Parts: sequence; C-alpha cells; structure tokens
Amino acid sequence: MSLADRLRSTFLRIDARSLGLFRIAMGAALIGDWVQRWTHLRAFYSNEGVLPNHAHLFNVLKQEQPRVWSVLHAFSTPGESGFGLLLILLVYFLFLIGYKTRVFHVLSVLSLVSLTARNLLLSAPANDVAITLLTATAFLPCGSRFSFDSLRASLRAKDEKDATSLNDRTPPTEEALSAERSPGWSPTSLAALAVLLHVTLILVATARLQSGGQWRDGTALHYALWVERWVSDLGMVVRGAPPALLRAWTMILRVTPLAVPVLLFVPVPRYSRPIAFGLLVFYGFTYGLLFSFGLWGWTFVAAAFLVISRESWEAWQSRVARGRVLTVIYDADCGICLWLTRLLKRLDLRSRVTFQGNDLLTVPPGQKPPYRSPPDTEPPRVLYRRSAPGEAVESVPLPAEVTDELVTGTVVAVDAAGRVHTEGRAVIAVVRAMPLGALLSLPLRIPGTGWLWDALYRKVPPRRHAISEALGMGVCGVPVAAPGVPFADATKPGEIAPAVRLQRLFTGGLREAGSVLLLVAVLVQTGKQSGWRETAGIPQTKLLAAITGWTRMRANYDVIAPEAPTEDGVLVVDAQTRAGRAVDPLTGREPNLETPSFRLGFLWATYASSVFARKDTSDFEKPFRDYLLKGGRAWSVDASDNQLAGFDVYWLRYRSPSPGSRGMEVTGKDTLYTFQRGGRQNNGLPTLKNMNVR
Amino acid sequence: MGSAADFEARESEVREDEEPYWQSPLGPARSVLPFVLGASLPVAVVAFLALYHSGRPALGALHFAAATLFDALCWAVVMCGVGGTIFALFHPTYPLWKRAALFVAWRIPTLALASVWYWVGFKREWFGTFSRSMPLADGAPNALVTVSDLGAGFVALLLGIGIYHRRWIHERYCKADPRTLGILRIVLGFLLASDCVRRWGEARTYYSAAGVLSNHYLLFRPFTSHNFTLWNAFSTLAEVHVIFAIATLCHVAYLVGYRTRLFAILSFVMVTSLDNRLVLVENGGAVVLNLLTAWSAFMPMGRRFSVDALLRSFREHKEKRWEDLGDRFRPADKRDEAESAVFLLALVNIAIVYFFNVVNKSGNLWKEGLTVHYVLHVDRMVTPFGVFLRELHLPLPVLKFTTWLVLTVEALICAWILSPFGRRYTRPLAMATMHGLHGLFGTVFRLGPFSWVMICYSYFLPRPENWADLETWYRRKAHARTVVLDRTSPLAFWVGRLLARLDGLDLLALVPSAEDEPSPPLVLVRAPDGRTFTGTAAFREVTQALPGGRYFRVLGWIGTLGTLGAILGYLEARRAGVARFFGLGLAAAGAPELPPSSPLRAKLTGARETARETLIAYLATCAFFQMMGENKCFPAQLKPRMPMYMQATTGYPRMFQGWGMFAANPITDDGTMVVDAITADGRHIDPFTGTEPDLYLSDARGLGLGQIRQDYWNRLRLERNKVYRQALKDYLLHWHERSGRPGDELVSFDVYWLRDQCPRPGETQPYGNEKTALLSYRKKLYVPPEGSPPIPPEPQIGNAEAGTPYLKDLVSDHGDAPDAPPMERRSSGDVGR
Repeated sequence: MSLADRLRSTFLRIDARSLGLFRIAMGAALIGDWVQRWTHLRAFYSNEGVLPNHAHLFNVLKQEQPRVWSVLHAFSTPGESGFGLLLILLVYFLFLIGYKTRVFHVLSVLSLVSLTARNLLLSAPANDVAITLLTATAFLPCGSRFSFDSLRASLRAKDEKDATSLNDRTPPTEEALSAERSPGWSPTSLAALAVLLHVTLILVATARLQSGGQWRDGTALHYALWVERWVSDLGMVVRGAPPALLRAWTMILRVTPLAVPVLLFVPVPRYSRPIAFGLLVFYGFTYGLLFSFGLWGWTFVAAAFLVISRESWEAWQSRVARGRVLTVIYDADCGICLWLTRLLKRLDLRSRVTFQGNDLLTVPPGQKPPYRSPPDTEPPRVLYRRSAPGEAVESVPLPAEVTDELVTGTVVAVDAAGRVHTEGRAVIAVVRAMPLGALLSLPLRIPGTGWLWDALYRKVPPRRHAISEALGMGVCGVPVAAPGVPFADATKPGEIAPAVRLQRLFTGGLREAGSVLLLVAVLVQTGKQSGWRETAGIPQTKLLAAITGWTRMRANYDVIAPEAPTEDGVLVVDAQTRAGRAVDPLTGREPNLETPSFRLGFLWATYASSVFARKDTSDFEKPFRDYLLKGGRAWSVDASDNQLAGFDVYWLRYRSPSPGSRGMEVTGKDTLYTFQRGGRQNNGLPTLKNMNVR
Repeated sequence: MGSAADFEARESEVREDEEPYWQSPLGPARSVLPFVLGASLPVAVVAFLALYHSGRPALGALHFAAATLFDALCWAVVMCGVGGTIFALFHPTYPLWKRAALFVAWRIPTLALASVWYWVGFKREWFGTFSRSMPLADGAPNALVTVSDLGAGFVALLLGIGIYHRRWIHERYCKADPRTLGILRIVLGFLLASDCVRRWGEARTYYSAAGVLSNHYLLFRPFTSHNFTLWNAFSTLAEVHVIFAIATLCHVAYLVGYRTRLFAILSFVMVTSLDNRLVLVENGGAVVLNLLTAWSAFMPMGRRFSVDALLRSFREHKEKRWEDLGDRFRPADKRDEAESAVFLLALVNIAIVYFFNVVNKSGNLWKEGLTVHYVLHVDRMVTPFGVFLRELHLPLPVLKFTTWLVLTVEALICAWILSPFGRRYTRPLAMATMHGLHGLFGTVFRLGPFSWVMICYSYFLPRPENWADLETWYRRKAHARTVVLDRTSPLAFWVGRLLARLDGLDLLALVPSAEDEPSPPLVLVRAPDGRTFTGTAAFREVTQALPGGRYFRVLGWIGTLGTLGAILGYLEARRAGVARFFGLGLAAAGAPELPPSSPLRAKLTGARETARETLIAYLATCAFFQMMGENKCFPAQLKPRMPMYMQATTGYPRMFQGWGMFAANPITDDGTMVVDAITADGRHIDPFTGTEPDLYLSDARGLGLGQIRQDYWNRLRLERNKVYRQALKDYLLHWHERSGRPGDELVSFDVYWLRDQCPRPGETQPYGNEKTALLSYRKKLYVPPEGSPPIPPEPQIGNAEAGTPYLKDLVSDHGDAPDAPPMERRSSGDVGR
C-alpha cells in the first residue's frame, strides 16, 4: 500500500463497522436522553410547564436574529407534546436499529434540534456536541454495517442454500461493493476527515476552556463532584474517594482532550487509535456516569467508536481463538433453520461458526449429497470444523454421540473440545460464539436454568416445518413460490452505468461540499464562542451563522470550565398549602433549607442555571409561578386543601469542602421570588422579586 | 378490467341473490329482525361508551344503552309491521281475503304499538301529573325513554338492515375501480398543490409571524381546544416558505403517485395543518378537502396512473426478448376493483353534503327564490363574471327559477350518487351536474377551494362500466398501429417496455425491425394502410393509440418546451450512446422482483385490513355523531354529546359534517373591512390596498378581494374573534418595518366594518351604507407636523354583528324574518356567510 493510499485510508475513511457501532451507541444515548426528557415532559415541553410554546416563541422572535426552529413548538398540551415525543422516540429507535438509516439519521438530527430549541433554557454544551457529531456523521454511511438495512441487503444479495455457501466467508470484492453501493456512499470522503476534525475541535475547545487552577492542581474533579446541580448518584459515591485518586483522575481528564487529537492524526493508526479509543471511552464514561450533563459524556463514548481504524478491526477479527470455534449441525430440510443459519453467518463477524446440514454427516466438506463413498467402504461420519476462526473448513471424525436420530430432533453444536450441546444448550453455545456473546448469553447461563431453555426449545422442533411454511420458506429453504427461470442479465456484473456514476458524482459532490461547509461553520462558531481572536481568518458570514444557528450548534463547550465553583447554590421552593402545610412542589417533600440537595436531574439543573443565573428573568417568571401553582413537578393540587396559598423561591448557597474533607457548609440563602403569603419558613430575608405584584 | 357484459352478468347474479330477501310473507323486515337486534348491541355499547366518556354517570349511560336496545326492537317491529302491510296490499298473487287479513293483522298492532311508543317517548306530558318535559339528548331525570334512545334505536335499525344486506351493499357501494382512484388522485393532488400554492402567495401576510396572526399569538389564543398545525413551528417568512415548499412537494408527489400511501398521509397532515393555521378563512371547501384527503389515505390510490405502478410493473415484469413485449402485464390488483368500507363512507359523505345542503336551506328567501338575486349583489364575494351576470339585470322570475333549480339539482345529485340502480347513468349524470353547478359557482363567486373540491370529489364516482363506455368511445377515435423498434438498440427495447405498459387499449403491436435491415429508425410507426411515421409524427401516432393520449400529448410538447422534435432526433442519432449512458441492455436486467408472499404474510395483511376497516368504522361513527351535532335540521334533543376523544378525532383534522352553504338563508347584506390610517408623513392610507381608504361600499362593482382576505375580514368582525384583532393591531403597528420607509409608520388608524344592504328584489341599487369601528389606535404624544390636519378623535368601537335596522325590510317584505344572518355559529358548511 502506497503512502497516499495509507493516508487516504487513515484519514479519509472511517470503517463501516466503526460507523455502525457509533450509530448504535449514539442511538442508545439519544434514547437515554429522550427518557429524561419524557419524564419531565409536562414541565419543559408542554404549555402546563415552565415555558409555554407561545411565550417561548414570543421571547425568541424579539431577538435580532431569531434562528430558532423546533417542530415541538407546534405541540401545546401535554397530550400533544407526548405524541410529539413518542414520534421522536420512534425516529431514534429506527436510527438505532438502522432502518432506512440515512432518512432516520437526518430525522434524528432534526429531532434533537427540536428538543433543544423548544426550550432554550435547557440549552447545554451536551446538546451542542451531540448535534454537531450527529450532523457531521449524517454525511457518512452509518447504516452499512450492524443495521437492519445492511442485514436485509445482505440476505437479499446472497441467498445461501447449503452448508458450502454458508461456510463461504470470502469477503466481497471492492468492485462488487462499489456496484451495489447507493449513490453518495463512497467510503472515501472528506466527510470522514471532517468528523475527525469535529472531534478534535470539540476536545481542543473544551481543553482551552478548562483553564482554571483546579485543573492544574488536580482538584477540579473533586470540586465538580460537590456541585449539587451537576453530580449524579454515582458521583456522590465517588466523591468520597481518596484525594490522590481524584487528582490522578482529574489529570487524565485534563490530558485526554489534548492527547486524543494528537493520537488521531498520528499516521500509525494501528497503535494510536486504540489508545485514543480508550481515552475517549474513559472520558465519556466519567462525565456520563458521575455527572448529570445530559448527552455530553455519552456522545464521547459514541464518538470513541468512530476512531476505531480498519487495522484494529482486522487485528480483532484475525485474533486466533482456536478454543472458540463451533460447529452447528442444523436441519437441512427446515426452511426457518436455514434462514437462522444465514442470520448467524452474518452475525458471526469472526467466522467462528461452521455450519453443517444434518444430511451431510457422511459427506466431506465441499461435496454435495448424495455422496458416494469408495466401493466396499463404510462412509466415514465427519464433522465440519475450522481449525481456527476464518480458516478453511476441514473434516474431523464426528463424535459418537451425534447420531442420525439426534440431528433430526434438535440443533447440535459441537465445540472445539468436542463437547456436544443440544436443544437449549446448543442455542446458548451459539449465542456465546457470537461477538459480545459471552455477555449476551449471561442470562441464559444462570446455573440451574438449563432445563428451562431445553423445555422452551422443545416447543420449536415439532413445529419447525409449520413455521417454515407459514413464513413462506417451505422446506430446504427454497421459497414456495419460485421466482422462475433465472435470466441472463444484459449488463455485466459489477458494471456501473455512466448515468449512475454521474448521479454518484453529483450526490457525492454534494456530500463533500456539505461536510466541508459544516466543518467551516462549526470552526468559525467555535472560534467565536471560545474567544479565539481569529479562526484562520474566516469571517462568520450569514450562511455560516445560519448553519450553526438553526441547528443550535453554538459550540459552547464550557463543561466544568474554567473550573468547578467552590461555592454554589440549589433551588428550593418553600410553599405552603391552604391547609398550612409546608411543601416543596418540585420534590413533593418538606422544603429542605438545611442540607443542600438537588436530585432533579439534568434538565432541572440546566433550567435552574439558565433562569436564576440571569439578571433579567422577567420573561420566565410568570410561567414558572403558574407552573408551581399547578402543583409543580411533584405536588398534586386536586384537593382544595393542597392548593398553594403562597411560596418563596430560595437560592440556598453553600460552600464545597476542600479536598480531603467532607460535608458542605451552608453559607446563606437568597429569596428569589415570593408569591402571596410566601412560605412557612420565611424569615424576613430581602426579596428580589414579588411575583404577585406583576 | 371486465367488459360491460361481464358487469351485466355480475349484476344479474346479484339480483338473483336478492330474491330470497323479499319473499317473506310477513314483509321485508321480518328476516332482518335478528340482525337489527344484533346490531343494536354494538350501538348500545358505543352509546354507553360515548356517554360514559363524556362525563355521564355509568348508571345513566347504562340506562341509555338499555333504552337503545328496547328502541331498536320497537323500530324493527314497527318497520316489520309497515312492511307487512305494504306487502299485503300489493302482493300480486295473494287473494283478496289474504290481503285483507294481512292488512288488518299488521296495521292494527302496528298502529297500537306506534301510538304507545310515541306517547311514551315523545308526549309524556299528556299524562298529567306524570308528565315530563321533552327529554334531552342524554336523558332527563327519571325519563324512561329519551329522544336520543329513539335515535340510537333507529341507527341500530339501519345498521341491522345494512348488515343483513351487506352483500348487496358491498357489491354496490364498497368497491371502486383502480382507474377511478388513479384519476381522483391526480385531480386531488393537483387541487391540493394548487391550493397550497395559492396560500403560499399570501405567506407573508397570513401565515408568518410578521403577519396578521403570528404563530405565537395563535398558540396563545388557539381557535379551538383541538387546534394543531405544523405551521406553528415555522415563524419567520423564510421558515414559512420552507414549510410551504415541503407541503407542495408532498402534494406533487401524491399527484404523480410516488410512494403514494406515504404522501397521501403526509398530504393529509399538511392540508389539515394549513387549514388549522388560519381557521378564520376556512369554509366548507376546506373541510371537504380535509375529508376527501382523509378518506383517500385509506384507498389504494396508486394502483393506476402512478409512478409507483409504473416502477412496480418494471420491477415485477422483466421482458427478456422482443417477443415478451407482446405479453401485456396486468396484475390482479390493477384489474380488479378495490374493496373497502371507506368507499361507502366517502360516497355517503358526499351525498350527505348535498342532502343537508338541501334540507338546511329552509329559509324564506330560498322558498321565495330570491337567493340568486341577493348573492349576486355581495360584492365581497362576487367575481367580475358575477358582476357581468348581475348587470345583465335578468328578470326576477328567471332568478327565482335559477334559485329553485339549484335546490332541485342539489337534491338530484344526492339521489344520483346514492342510487343503487342504473349507476351506469346516474353516476356520470351526477358527475356532469357537479361540474356544471360548481363550475358556475366557482366562476361567479370567490369561494376558495369550495367549488373545485366538489368537482374533484365527483371524480370518485365513475364505475367500471363507465370506464368501459369511455374505452369504447375512445376506441372509435383511436387507431391500431404497429410500432417497429430497432432490433439492435437497447434504447428501442426500453421504449418498447414503456409502451407495453402505457398501451391500455392494446392497440399497439410492438415488433422488432427486420434482421436484415442495416440501419432501421429507432422507432417507426406503421399504419394498417402501409403509411409509415418517424420522429414527431411517430410520437403523434403512438400517443393517439394510448388511452387519452390524443388529448394529453400536448403535455409532451409543453414538458419539452417545444423541443420534442429535437430531442427525438437526438435520441435517434445517439441511440447507442444514450443506452450505454443509462446502462440499458437488450433485456431487462435481473430477475422479476415479485412481492414476497407467505401464509403468515397473508394473515398479517388480513389483520391489517381488519384494523383498517375497524378504524374506518370508528371514523364513520365520529362522522355520524358530528353530523348529528352540527346540522341545524336536527332538533337539539337529538344532538349527542361527543366524548372528548371523538371530539379530538374530528376536531384536530377539522373533519366536520355540518353542511349549509348559503343556509338557512343567503346573506342579504354586503360588507368588508377598511383600514383608515394616517402615516407619519401625513398620508391617509389603507395599508392593505396601498391607496386612500374608500369608506363607501354601495358603489362597488365587485371588491376584487381574494377568498383569504375577504373571509379573514368577514370573520374578524365577529365578536367571538375579537381577540384576534390585537394581532391585526400588531401587524399594522409594524407596517413601516416591512415597507422599509420610516414615513409609513402609522400614527393612527381605525379599522371599520363597512356594510350595506343588497338591493331589494327587482331593484339594482344597494342601500343602507354604514360603518362600524372595530379597532382604533392613536400614537401617544404624537403631534402632527405643522400644516398637517390634526389626528381625528377615536371613533367609538362598535359591534359589527349587531342587527341592522334594515333587517326589518326583509321581515316586512317577505314575511318570516330570516333566521338572523349572518351571525349564526360558524360550522364547516360556512360558505357564503
């Protein structure tokens, strides 16, 4: 491979498997984010919440350049908003499984933009980074592998009928792939480089913003874990860890954003990329598990898959694990059995499984039944086996317990040690041989449950032919309605018509231009947001501003930046009901003004930060008051005694402990708002806002 | 598709099947009885659920359901009795004594039962101290039987009869020809796209946040509790252009039949969204459009005349040899009629539009035949052609005759649409009449999409026998041709494949050129008399043989901007290069891709169809409730209270069922809104016209307003829409920002509703010009420049709905007072009000 080819392969191409894993991880992250938003649907996405759509639009349209668009603005009531969010969940799910991938990739971008732009008070760095990476990868074929689309295309492209074709793992040639590829799906693209540059840009900008002294002295993680608005439940556990550990952890977090870009662009991907992958996963999991930063950490976990190089995949695939090979003997007369083996073949990325029809027990590999053995000799009973994953199929003596009766009644799996698995246990052995199979088969391998799987399995064999017929597979996997005599094609296989080439050139050109334009727009916006004096001398034109504006890619990456606050506050509502009971409508419990605690999740933390950090909050007061009067997040006002007669909204200030010590020190409280009677614990503090005056 | 003879044979089979239904000695209703009782059960369940979910106590709802069952029985017995009596009287073979016996045996019990039932149900106040007032729809306290019970029982009766005669109904009303659906799709898609583009032209003023009703204001003050529109997500003009472009794209994709089902659904979402964005300008036409688009989303609209059908045909039938071109590929779903209850629903729906349009027109002006006279003098709505007609000063008897003719024609259309017999003639008759009637309406009045959507609906009516007739007629004009295609050219082979699919009349014989011919033309057309044609002449000859090609071939010229000859010449000369470019071969590539089939898939398809039919039944139930609730001809006691989910089902997509165009009486006064504004540089101006405001209406010869503007003005004056005047005020206050001239800033404005009365019958001059101020603004602390006149004082804000003293004219001249036009509650049939 020439140097140019090597460079092209390293920087202008992301392996389809890496993209597939990115899609799955990103889809899962999006669904996780969706779940959070769903639980707060009424508060943040309906007109019964803290910001009705009309008030939001009214405020937004007052701006000079109102570049805010969200389809959720059209949804008003909780019922309508719930319907809208369910549609978004459907989009995310279809993106995750890779159904019509490009369509649902783009729709996922629009959905995330809509969720972000519906309530700008919830804007956070997490959304910026997620939208940016999701948009940048929309130019790449994320559905080429590990997707419903690719599985369907693969099953359609190659219709295996026997063990020989099932055991044929010859990868398709580049020409064949090229002929089947959809327009604009060339694997080599500037978009791949753009994605790597996006990751770099985000990490570098983050590192530059995290410039406080805590990051230098290694206490940033400690102090961040004591910020009540940020920390997750797991983070609360970790904040008790030894200071030295937290200091080391901080240093890794500080180094990662600087090291990963270097590792990405070192032209020895086989060694540098796995390190970059590991660092990004660690970085992402740290933020994802220890903090409530929404998609921030999980986007980096997903992005980590993008840096897995082709060399790494090949190394992983070629890693010899002789002990993990498996032979599966299936019913050759059963259509559904054959279809399942075809499916297994596609899931078996490391070619561990060898397939053998139950009619081939006396037929050597490569021969077709009926096989005639040499005269006067008993045909030897053989087992198909690969000596190592990916090797050619050879024959070894069949274990004696594998009889003709056995293979007609159950699927049989024979492992490398010659152990014979049948019924449910064979299924478990097959699942275990698949990628991540050891993990996925764990529930099936709970000791003492083997009989259960066997019993469940026994329900299937007597019905397998009926199932096959119901699915239109007939016997032997041959469709009942045969398509007819195969025709000779007019065009040569692999030949691509000039019209198709032109179409690909056009769509590919659009893709390249789009990805470059997006990169430039994000680069300029990042420079503007991060206060860089000049970004390569590129002015932010209207077009570039529009690209990042409409899509809410504000390039705001100030997470724990410049450092964690040592003094912070939490929001507490002290309300009293008509019956005189004190309650915090956000928690449903008595207001706690002694111990700072804020366990309401990412969205409420972002909302509190957005609203109460502002000087002018007048646009948001009335909806917030109305929301509280309707019971807020956790209080029901259905009973007249439970209706709120007044409340005070406090900002409870506290100081974080220094490294090595524990316990927060409450330093005071500010009354932000008061309404009518106020709360039960009002102690005459000066009130910033009187809500019932307005 | 089957020939007319096949159809007749099928018809006769159906008639034979019918015979047993009518041979009961007790009349036609006896055998129906079990079905009526059976049908009353689901009706009772639906009634129970409807009441329970609309907030009634469970016991009350149960009471209603039980009464429904009882009433279904009563209805059935009464119908049975009436039927038996008629049967006895007119039976041709019965002797006189038997007739008399049956007459007596049935008439007396029937009369007795009916009397008791009537007293119990309706007139219980006759029972003195036990009297009750007329029961309400959902039951008065202690009522045994309510009017709604009777209504529900009657529904059960109809349903039972329907179930009993389901085969008969299915054969006549639940089938549709795929060609009919294809044509309907094209016309509907064109209408949807046209209406969308029409509204797109008004995007800035009526659909953007900078217009007369911003999206955030609409979200703040939605028109109804079920008001959803995607347009609310698009604020600025640029954003609104995007959503209009997307909507138009959906409609065009639907028109050409590309991914038909998907774009049918998207078109439905778009059209209802657009309607919801500005309900102020909605009229019956918009509602019919919503309904038709909704029903069509359940129909297989893409089976014929669509891109989907063409692509599918190319995919499923792959010709490999020249001989294969002679094998016309006609899959069953293209030939056979589609079957679904949605066809019945759509047909009944259009029929009830006409039915209620006749029934609801009960005002005295209709009875006296003065409607045409009055509506021709409504300058707000009338077109220049309408002005021309009225200025012909036709004699009053002619106008009266025209009024009654309209009523008669509408009644006839309803009957023709629903007629189970002679559909070969009644359907085309209805279709032609709808074209004539609504074509006239559309050219005389500005009613938005109303007239055109009604014409569009008529394309749902043609039956297979009509297509057969059309085919016979067209065959007489078309001529068979032999198309000789270059044997060596893959492009010619592809042209042959295309023609094989378009040749619906089988008039083209597709043959390859002779093997020994050295350089044959790409396409050569040969007539039976030996004449040959190439180039554009060949195109003409081929298209005249294709279905409708004689009339549509002009599209070929238009589509190529007159360069068809040059294009054909280029293809002729570069046939090899073009074929290579597109990768064409002398055989279609690949094996036929037939849709996968399996028993499980068939079952799933069956389940999907059942689910679809169930959903249609639910929508039909909603439509029925809606019809009962909206139309004025039903007494208040019969109007059901719909549960919330049913209200949402009809309310969100605005699928209403109240029909009363110009009903109960036409409007007799004319009106429009005028803004009298003063700009910062001292000009008097109406910002909507850009000229000085004209506050005198009676000299108008048609106001030339588009439907959107005239309906917006007309609805904004209503008191219930007063809240939206604030949005208009905001719009006017920012007018100078849009014009870009600081001098255009409005320092004061008054918005007036101008009104005058249409001329009295026999006269030509309107009278009673008056103006009512609806909105007023004066800029605070504004001092006019020196030399400019002072700002006039603010007028008193009035009520444009208040009665006018001139109404008494109508009372005195024509007897009964008209039922208070134009202030009635608006409904879907709100055309001309």
